[in-house]
Amino acid sequence: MAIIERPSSTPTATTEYVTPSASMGFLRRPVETSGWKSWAFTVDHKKIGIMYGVVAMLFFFVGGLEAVLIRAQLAQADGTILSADKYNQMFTMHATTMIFLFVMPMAAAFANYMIPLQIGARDVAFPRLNALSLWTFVFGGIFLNTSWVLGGAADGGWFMYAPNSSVPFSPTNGVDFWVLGLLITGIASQVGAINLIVTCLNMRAPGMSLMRMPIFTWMAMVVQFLLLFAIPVITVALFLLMFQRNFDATFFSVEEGADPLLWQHLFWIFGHPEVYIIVLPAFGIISEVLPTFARKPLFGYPFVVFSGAAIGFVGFGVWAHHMFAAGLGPISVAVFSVATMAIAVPTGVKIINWTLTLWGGKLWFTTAMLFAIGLIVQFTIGGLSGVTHAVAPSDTQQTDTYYIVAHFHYVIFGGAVLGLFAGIYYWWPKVFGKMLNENWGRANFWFMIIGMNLTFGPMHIIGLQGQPRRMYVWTENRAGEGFFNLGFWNLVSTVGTVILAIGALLFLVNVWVSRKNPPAPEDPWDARSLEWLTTSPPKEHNFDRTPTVHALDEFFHRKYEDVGENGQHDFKKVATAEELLAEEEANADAHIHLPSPSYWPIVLAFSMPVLAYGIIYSTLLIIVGAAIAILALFGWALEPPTAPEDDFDPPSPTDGGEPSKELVTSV
Amino acid sequence: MFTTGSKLLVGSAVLATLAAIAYGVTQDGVMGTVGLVSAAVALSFLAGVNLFTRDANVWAEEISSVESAPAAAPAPADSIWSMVFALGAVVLTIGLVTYQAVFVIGLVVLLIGGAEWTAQAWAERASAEASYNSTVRSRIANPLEFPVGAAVGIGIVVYAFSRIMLWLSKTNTVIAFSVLGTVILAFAFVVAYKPSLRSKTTGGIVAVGVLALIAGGAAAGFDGERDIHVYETTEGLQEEGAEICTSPEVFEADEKASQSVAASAAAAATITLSEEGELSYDVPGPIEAGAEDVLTLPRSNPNNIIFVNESSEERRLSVDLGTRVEELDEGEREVPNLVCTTLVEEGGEQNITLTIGAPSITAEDGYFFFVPGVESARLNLVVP
Amino acid sequence: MQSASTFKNMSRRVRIGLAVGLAAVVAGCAQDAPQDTWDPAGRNAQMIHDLQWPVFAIAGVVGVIVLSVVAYVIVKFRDRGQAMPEQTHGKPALEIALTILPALILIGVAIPTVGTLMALNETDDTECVVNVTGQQWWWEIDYPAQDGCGEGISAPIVTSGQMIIPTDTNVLVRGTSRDVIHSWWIPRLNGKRDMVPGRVHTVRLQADEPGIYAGQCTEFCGLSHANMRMEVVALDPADFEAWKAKQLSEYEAPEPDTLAAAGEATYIAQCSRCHQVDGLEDAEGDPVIARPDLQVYSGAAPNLTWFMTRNTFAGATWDLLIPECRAAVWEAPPGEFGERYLEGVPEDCLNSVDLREWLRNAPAKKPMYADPEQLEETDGLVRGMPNLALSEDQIDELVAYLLDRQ
Repeated sequence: MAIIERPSSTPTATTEYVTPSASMGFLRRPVETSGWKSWAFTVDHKKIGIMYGVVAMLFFFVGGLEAVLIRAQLAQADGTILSADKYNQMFTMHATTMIFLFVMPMAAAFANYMIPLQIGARDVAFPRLNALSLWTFVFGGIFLNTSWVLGGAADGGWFMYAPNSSVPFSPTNGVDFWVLGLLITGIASQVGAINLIVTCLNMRAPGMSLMRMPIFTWMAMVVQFLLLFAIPVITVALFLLMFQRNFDATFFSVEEGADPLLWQHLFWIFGHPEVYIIVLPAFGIISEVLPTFARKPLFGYPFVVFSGAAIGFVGFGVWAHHMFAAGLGPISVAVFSVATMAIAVPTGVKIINWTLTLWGGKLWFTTAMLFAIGLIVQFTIGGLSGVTHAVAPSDTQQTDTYYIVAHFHYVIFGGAVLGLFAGIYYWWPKVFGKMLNENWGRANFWFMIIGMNLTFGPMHIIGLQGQPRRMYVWTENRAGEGFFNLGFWNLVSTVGTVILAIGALLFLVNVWVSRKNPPAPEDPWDARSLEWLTTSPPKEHNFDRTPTVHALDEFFHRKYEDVGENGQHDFKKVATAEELLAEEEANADAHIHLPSPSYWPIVLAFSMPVLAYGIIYSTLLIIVGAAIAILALFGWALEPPTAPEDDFDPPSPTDGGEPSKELVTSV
Repeated sequence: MFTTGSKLLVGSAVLATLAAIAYGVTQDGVMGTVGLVSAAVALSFLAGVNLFTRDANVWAEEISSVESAPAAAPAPADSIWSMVFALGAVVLTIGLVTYQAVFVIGLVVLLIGGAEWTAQAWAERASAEASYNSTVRSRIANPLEFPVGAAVGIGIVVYAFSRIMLWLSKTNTVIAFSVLGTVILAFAFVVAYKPSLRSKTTGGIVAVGVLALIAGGAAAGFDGERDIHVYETTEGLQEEGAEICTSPEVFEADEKASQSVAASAAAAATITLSEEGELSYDVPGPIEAGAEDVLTLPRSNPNNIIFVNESSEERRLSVDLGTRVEELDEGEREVPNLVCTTLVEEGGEQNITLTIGAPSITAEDGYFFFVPGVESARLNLVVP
Repeated sequence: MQSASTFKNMSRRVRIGLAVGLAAVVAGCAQDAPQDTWDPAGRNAQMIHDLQWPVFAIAGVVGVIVLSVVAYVIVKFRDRGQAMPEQTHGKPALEIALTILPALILIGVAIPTVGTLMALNETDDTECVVNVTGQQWWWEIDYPAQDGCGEGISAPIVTSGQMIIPTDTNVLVRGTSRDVIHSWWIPRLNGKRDMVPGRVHTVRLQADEPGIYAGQCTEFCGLSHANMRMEVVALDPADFEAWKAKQLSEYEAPEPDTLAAAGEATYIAQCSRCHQVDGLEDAEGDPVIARPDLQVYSGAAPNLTWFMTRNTFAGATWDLLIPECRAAVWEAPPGEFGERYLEGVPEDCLNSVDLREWLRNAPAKKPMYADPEQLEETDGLVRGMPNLALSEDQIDELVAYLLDRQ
């Protein structure tokens, strides 16, 4: 439920008065409860979460297509599938799309959907702000991708080092699209971060202390703090670059005395926390999945929480390990090298905890569990290769080669993406009310795992054998002798990509095939946390009665009671999910007020690409965009979060007397 | 009974009079004073006429009927906005004859007063109940007032603080900053651990602090900044480049000299003028054996050179790069191609970015670094 | 239960997968890649390798342990219908122990890391300084006048693409860039170092034996980043002196009335705006000084004085030698390498196909930004070699002239 404003005083004089909402007739609040308008103007965190997920999945396939093209080009020496220019655009956009338009929003999808449910709340702290985050992301992503047809996409790499990003070296508008697109999606993340932090800190159910908060919410909250401090840094860097390119600033002009390393520092101070932003939500997800399917609680919950927080904190102190070869000087390099080794410790703690969660359990291998175990295996490999280049002298051999590409794909794909898929399979019944098909799920999993290892495994080898990255061709001259030379492994890698692509498509097949499945039960996995104490899918107000929390894994403790004696534990099932749900319904809260839908978030979000196009093309558009933004802000501020009764149309006689609003009032 | 219109005019007249006095006393010219006095007279006259004719407001005569009118009839509430509007108008007029800044302030105050006045008048038509009216007015006006007010307030505080920082000496700024930060932190602790502290007390303390800051800022602003050694970088000096770069005294610099030592990390070379008047250089890594008196730089490369002045005079480092061709209206001519830093104080450093397009064999005497005024300071520069 | 068979398969699959993976890795290492980072040929790369492989070994051992434990857990604790497991919340002592253990291992890794790092940044033992300047998309290498590098260098030597060094000498590469960030990397001799415009970075090189060591630019620098390569050629001291003598020797104009002489005239007309040939004089006897700063955005073009003493061109992207001759040089044993290399490019070994294609239309061969229509952003200066629209005759003359440059 939204943080409530002071209610407006009821007028005592005549009824013919001016009210803010009624005075602006055509800007009445939206009232639809079904159809596309109910999605476009919603402030319900669940709908927003679903939209985040759908759009992110779409961008997953866009980025995946870009990857397939890259690998097709590199399957053979001196490939001709992509020109040098197109290749440079392709790898820039592949990385940008996957990081900013797939992994981060998919994590946001889970955070948005699950955090309120896990903490027993009815919505996030600022529902309209939540909608703003979503639509800003959607429009930003679309804006960024229109660059493909408007003169070429950005071609400077996702890290966009200066001075290559300046106008003489990147004369097309591609880099401008990249800069502005990321500024826009950065707003989405920043705003969402504030929203979710306040939600986690302020809106937990009674009795839920921080150390009784579900682990996914904890990891997501750490991620929001990381975003809160990291996004401003890249915003600054992007502003400097935008002014350099569009307004003739000289921040990165070496002839004027600038130091190109400024960009690198700013970018990586953001960039390193960014990789923890990418992977911690997946860690949170599997920290939920593994206990559920092992039938035991997470091993060492406080350790997992503190190691997550430690990773977040120390993550701000290791950025220059991306710059070991950049000429920083041995003292700086030594400090960052040691700090990077330090951060391996809390990450290792998590692997230990997950494995010990499984130890002694009763393992049920659903697709979600397969993905979760896959994460443990793949992330371990990726993490260990990371330790090999925490050693700075080794890194001077490994950086900018395919060895690094292998490392980060193992931790991002094998870590974040597998974790996200685990979450998708785990929570699908709750979100959509249907089970996903397990056999197709298994196929999805195995194709992905085999494909991923075939694609990224050989990259360790070709990297150590000296193939640098970001090269649109590789040549026989540098490929080495013998059958197992660079050519062989590049080909294996490309074949792996095809298998991986099939695996990804199998997910879509599974979704399609499962669309007509029978309704899923409330609690198909016999899970442990509060989001399962709802219908499948949850009602719009989530919980009929705000639960009071007595322990970690509250839901589990309501279903199972410890009847053991003399220090022995013996858990017996005392209630099913259905029974618990019925009890909640019987004791439902009176007077549940939900925040009302609104036009302003999507209108304000729309103004941003208009502004951005204006900066690139025409000052007039800047003025139009700014005007829309100011009007939207003003309209938003005028509008109360929850609409008064009379903002909605009176009940129509043809409707059977039912009001056309979607306010849940007293039962 | 003073009507709205007459309030405006009386206020304007009074202010114009005060302004005329203030201006006449402090400023030299007579035209301004004349203008303001004329304004004061004219406004007083209009005010008088208005008061006499009661601004054609029939209500003003029937005082009793106003007091006994039914509640449903709209009655204007108290308002300072008309006076603010007047103030703005007068300041604006003063600004027309004095400083542009004053004009701008007057304009801003005028616009703010006008906007608020309009908002209030609009809100008063909403209903007969004053409290409801003010709620409605707040709804409409707050989304503008709060952000703008906050921005302006923060701006004033920050600006005042910046004037103080620029007025203190360099070391004192660090002290002031630390002291202020500590005071605020201590105050925060007091507030946090003593919830019984009344909000009026804390509000009062904060208000006093802010006012002190603003007053300090104003005082420091009027007193002026401390002496900051600004290295002038001027463009288009190439024509006079020869005069400046060969002179041991003139202060201007070549446009590629900069005060920033941001480029001091991994600079191409550091050239030091010693006490004895010798130039020596240092590069990353060791100097090639046998090459101590010749610096080699690659051509067409933005080389960052840091000049360190360890002598006891203000000196500049100049580079002789042969000659270059200068375009004139009637044709071309050859002028000396010299690049230099500003005069650097003793113990000071300055960075200069040299991009040399032609190799040193194109120059008759080759390229060399020199310090005007110090004969012995010469370092050869080879650009292959 | 349906899931049971999956685990058996899975654990078997896991085991098979591990075995295959390991075999592939081992097999994959058995080849001769010229840029192999695990095949050090000099002191510096050796220091890195001595640090690196133990860390890989430790990581490998840890990985095998973790994956084995996971495999074991999957098999042992699968759902066989047992009772609800004990709801352990954790064992702090075990946790702390398992946290301290990796920390200790990492401390053990950190100490030699810092030591090696400091050793690799040592510059006091330099015996030869070579400057390197990167630009889009080739490397300029110049040797400043100095007493080191064997018997000393009396005047600056400017070359490109291949850096010749004496064996067993501590060479300090001092490098920068003229436009964007590039990176100098010769894997068998040392790690990479970024070459950043406006900054000067140093990196040590030392080769134990004569040979040719391949490298590539490893910082994304635009269109032809993939086509920006270089080699370091190590010669034993006698051969190095011979090379130096050649580089410092006087320019010899080609015999009059030969194709090469016509080529000299064509060169002066077409190429000398950008490419410097030291000692070249025009018809009036004035030295021809190239001014690439007026033509090229980065302000430089490769010095072609002794072009055919090196055997790659265009950013070391193409060979000047046909494959048989190339193999003879690249695969020569260390004892014969110097002699083979100093032969340069004999006429019957010349790869005229690539050279002529390059002269005919360079931007078509190597993606560069030399299109005259698009030069607004760079003030009309090209980035890379433009298409000079030379006729076939001119190309013949130029090839003959260039062949003479050795």
